[in-house]
Amino acid sequence: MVEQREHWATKLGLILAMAGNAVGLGNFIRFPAKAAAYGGGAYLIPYFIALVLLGIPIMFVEWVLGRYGGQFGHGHLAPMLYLTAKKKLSPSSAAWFAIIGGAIAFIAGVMITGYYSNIVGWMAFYACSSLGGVFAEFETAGDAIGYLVDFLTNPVYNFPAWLISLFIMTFIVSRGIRRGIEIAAKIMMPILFLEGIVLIVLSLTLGAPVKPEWSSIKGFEWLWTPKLTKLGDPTAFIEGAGQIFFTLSIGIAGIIPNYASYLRREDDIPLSALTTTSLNEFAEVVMGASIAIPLAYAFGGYVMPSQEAINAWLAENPGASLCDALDALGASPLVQVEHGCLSGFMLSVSALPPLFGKLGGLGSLAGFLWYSLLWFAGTTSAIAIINVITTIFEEDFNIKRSVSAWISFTLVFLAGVFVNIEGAMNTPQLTDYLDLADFYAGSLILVVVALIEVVAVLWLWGVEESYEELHRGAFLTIPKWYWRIVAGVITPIYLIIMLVWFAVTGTSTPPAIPENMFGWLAVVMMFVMFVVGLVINKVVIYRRYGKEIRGGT
Amino acid sequence: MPFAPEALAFLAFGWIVVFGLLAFVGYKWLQVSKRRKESES
Repeated sequence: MVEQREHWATKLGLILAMAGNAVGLGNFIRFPAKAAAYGGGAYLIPYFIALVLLGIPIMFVEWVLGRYGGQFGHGHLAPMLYLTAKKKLSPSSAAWFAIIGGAIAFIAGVMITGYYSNIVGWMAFYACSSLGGVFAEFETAGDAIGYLVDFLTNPVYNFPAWLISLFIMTFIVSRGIRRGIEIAAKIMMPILFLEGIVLIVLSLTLGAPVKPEWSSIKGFEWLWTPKLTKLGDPTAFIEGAGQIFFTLSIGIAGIIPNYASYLRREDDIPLSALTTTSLNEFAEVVMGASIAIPLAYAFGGYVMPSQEAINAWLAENPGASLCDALDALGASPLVQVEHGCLSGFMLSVSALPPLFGKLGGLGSLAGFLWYSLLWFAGTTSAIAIINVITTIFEEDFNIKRSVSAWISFTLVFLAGVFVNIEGAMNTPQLTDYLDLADFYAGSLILVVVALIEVVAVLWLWGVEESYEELHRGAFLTIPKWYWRIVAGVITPIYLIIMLVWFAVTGTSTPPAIPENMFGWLAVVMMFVMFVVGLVINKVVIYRRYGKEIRGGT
Repeated sequence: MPFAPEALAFLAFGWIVVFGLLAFVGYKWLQVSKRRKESES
């Protein structure tokens, strides 16, 4: 049964919305930090391997799944999985495969939007702070971190920054695909790329405003200098793969299948998917690597304490970590990033504000451009997830889109408000809820969902059938061997290796383990969302396909 | 501009891959639009 659904008005709108979904905070703050920590320029080797073996195949899988599901009037993962799984499984097995798979994706959708929209709100606050000249008072990275802590612990600023951003996201989604998301993408994406280009020019021509030997171009060179020995550590390959997940938004709550569900039956997939991938890679490898690290180098250079000093400090402070030592001995922010002690986000809010402050009026403007770029990047990604949740209520429960969008708002609010409350309560960890949700919903679950999708499309639907579907109306032919061998065999093996790696290395220490009651709350919230997802998906699938599942026609 | 050759090599590698991808999809879209125009006329 083919249902009439809204479609993208233009090819450009579709590609910009898909690119907007993919281009997020990770492109500008996560990628350069991971590159710095895992081999500099050499990080591109595991990164591009993951792009070819994971990113592009899963991208195709998600587009195929989405366009196919859209023909049956579905915009979210569970019924799409059912439709493909039932080609090989019995209807009742396919239903449970889909219900559970959809519920896992639902956890990611709600939890990620909950904390991600908070971070997007912080970027709005930082953009305003920069324009207001606040950063001029900062001398050190410590001053900037103090400002972040003050902000996070003060709900008078933190709460509205989040709420206003979430309101804007929900408003865009409530207006629908053509009048909301497509228009927003057509406005925000060109602004984002323009801001990025201005910042690249500024970053690479900045010179050395703090110390003559700390020029930004030197920082650019530092980032790209390969540290090939780092590739001997398998973590580099897992991190490369993890970055591909974040950057392409694959496995995240079925957002690509959702956007692809608004394609027409004969709309192209391979070339459109590859185009959004290319735009995303431009935003990451070219833009992302050219801004934060060179600017951070211009602020703090590369100051590494001597090994003797580190050893002596560690001997005096038993139980302390290398990160503690680097921090205490005044290692520059980039050294801490290189050793995995400082995340890309922390670099962005610790090293960059004092630099912007030192540059006067130009710095205020540059800071505004940087944080508003991050706001646009985050917003275009967050609306994609909110749209998935909205689609469930709109299409499967026949609730008006405007109301469905605000139901999604309520769910996201519930999942995200504890990030705010934990800040207001000034816990020692400050972000335990966020860190835990990010570890499970924002990392582990993405791999699980991607594996479920690949199994559904390549194994249960079949290589031949899905290949044919991929090429319906295609402007580009994908080699059959790539679909059969890479997408059908290598991609799932790679995903299983990632899951085993997670299980072996990452589940015994924070952030995998809660450190305070907010961490436990995140665990409870994820469980609640899983149950809600199960119930919703069961109702949706049985209401629509109950007859065939129970053995009728 | 002093830029270590190995850094330059990896920068070039990354940028060639990305701009190569962009050029490839741009060329394909151009072909699509040409074909569409031809079939319309």
